Amino acid sequence: MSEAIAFYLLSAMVLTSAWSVVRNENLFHAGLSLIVCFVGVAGIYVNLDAPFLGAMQVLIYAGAIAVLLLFGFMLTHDLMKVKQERNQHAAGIFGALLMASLLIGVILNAQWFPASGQLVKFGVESLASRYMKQDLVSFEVVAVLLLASLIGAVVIARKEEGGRE
Amino acid sequence: MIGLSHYLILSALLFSLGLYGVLTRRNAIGVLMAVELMFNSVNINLMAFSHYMMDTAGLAFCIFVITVAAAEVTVGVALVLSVYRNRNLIDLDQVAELKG
Repeated sequence: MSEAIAFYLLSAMVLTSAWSVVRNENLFHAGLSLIVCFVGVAGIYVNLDAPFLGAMQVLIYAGAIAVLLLFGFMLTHDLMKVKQERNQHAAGIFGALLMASLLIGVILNAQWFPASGQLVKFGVESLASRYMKQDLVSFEVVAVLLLASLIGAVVIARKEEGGRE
Repeated sequence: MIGLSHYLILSALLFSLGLYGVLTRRNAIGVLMAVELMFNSVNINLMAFSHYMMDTAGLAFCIFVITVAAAEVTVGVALVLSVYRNRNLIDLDQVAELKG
């Protein structure tokens, strides 16, 4: 019962803040709503018995990605004129409603499997053993990806020296 | 009782909101924010399946998605800063050199 109450409260929090993220005319306020949305999604993960993932969500999304986006906004925008206009309003509403109705129709009509497999503990131990056994190659590839994106971001964003026109 | 489809519907609604944001925002940073919403809805999906199938695969995929999203947003913000510095604009409608 408490799981249901938590689910509905967190869903309301996530959806209202997501609405604010896409609709707010002040993009800075939209970025702050994005943090609320990420914290709500972290609560959803805790509700799904994955507290480690919830902690990672708060650290990486709410702590790093949202702050990076807010810094990007502040560096590229004159804060005195923050009002954002929109375009393609009708196309946006049509596309989003079409996508939502398709997805919800499929979800409500599908025959979902009963729970199968043995109960595993969603602790850090099971995750670590999975990363060190089955998913070792992907784990290393992700490490290389992080290094590449780090170097790439520095190369893309630095000032050109010597004026290569 | 909360079932799998409750989480899937929440994720579908969040994905559609993100899609609406991607289609209607003109500011590049606003589009990146909406893309992050879509990443989060995919993660809720993966985690719900992981929970109800009692398998750690969804959890492992979810952490991969978070890592790739962090890399994506780093490079994305660097590109936006680079365009802003060289062209002094951030409206995506005006960055149309590749348009055929």
